[in-house]
Amino acid sequence: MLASVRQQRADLHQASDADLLLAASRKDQAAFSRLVERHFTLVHRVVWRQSNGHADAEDIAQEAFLRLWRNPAQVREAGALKGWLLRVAHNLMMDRFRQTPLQVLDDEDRIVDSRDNAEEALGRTEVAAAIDGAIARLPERQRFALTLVHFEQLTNIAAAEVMEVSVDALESLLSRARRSLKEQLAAHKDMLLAGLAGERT
Amino acid sequence: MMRDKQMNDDELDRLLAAASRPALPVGALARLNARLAQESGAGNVIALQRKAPAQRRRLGWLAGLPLAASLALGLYLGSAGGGSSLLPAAFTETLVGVSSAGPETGIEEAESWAEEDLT
Repeated sequence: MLASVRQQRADLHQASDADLLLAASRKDQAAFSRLVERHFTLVHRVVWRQSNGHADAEDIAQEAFLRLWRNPAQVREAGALKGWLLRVAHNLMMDRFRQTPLQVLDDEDRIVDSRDNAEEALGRTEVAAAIDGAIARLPERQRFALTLVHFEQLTNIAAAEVMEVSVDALESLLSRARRSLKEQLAAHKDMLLAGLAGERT
Repeated sequence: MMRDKQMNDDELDRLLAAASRPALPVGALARLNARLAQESGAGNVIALQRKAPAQRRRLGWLAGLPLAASLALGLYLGSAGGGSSLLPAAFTETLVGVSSAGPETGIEEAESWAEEDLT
């Protein structure tokens, strides 16, 4: 009995997304939980980044998986599962924050003001906060492109499919996002880079 | 001076690598699995059918049948004039007595009372 349960668990761990989706369509919750284990962290991370770290990120990611659970047949190809989840989660996030737009903290100003000495380098946490703030100030589509490609390592083709744009359009969004970040961070770049190196002058 | 204010791709990549990476909230997967179990449970529940309104409707029709029959019979007997034979004898005799004596309107008495008042 115990051996068969272990075997079943091992099978689930080795099963492909396609097999797990098929099992999920028969309401096999163990199989679906395996899909959750595989993809939830990614979906949560993307929603978190897109919502500027909003507390609802977990709830939104959960909702995307619940939609899949209700109707797994919506994903026709297992290869498209990750993209489907990211797209649905992103749409859910946009719906949720349509009424109450996300607030962007002005981390850049806060960091500059907090310095005791103009020559003092920032700590790593402050550097991270400054970069998070700069990313949060990007237009939503640019931030989404940057999140998918830079942070989640999706290929341009995969990211373009998630965003339902052409690869050219995605590359344009990425380029504009990077240019905007450079402009935002350039004024404090020495301080930020020194903070990364752990320097304190 | 202007060169210092610019940032190259390598510098930007180094900074982006320092951006926050959210950790998965503790218990997030367990919470999602609980919601899934809740949804699964909801799917297995057989919803109770509300049959009462249908029965009430059928009973309404059944109750209406004797009422309709009674109304039809009443109309028939009333129009045919044969209804009096079905009524109790004491009641029909009173009715006959009233009709032979003529209608009691009370107008005559009222007139006499009015005359008394004048005198």
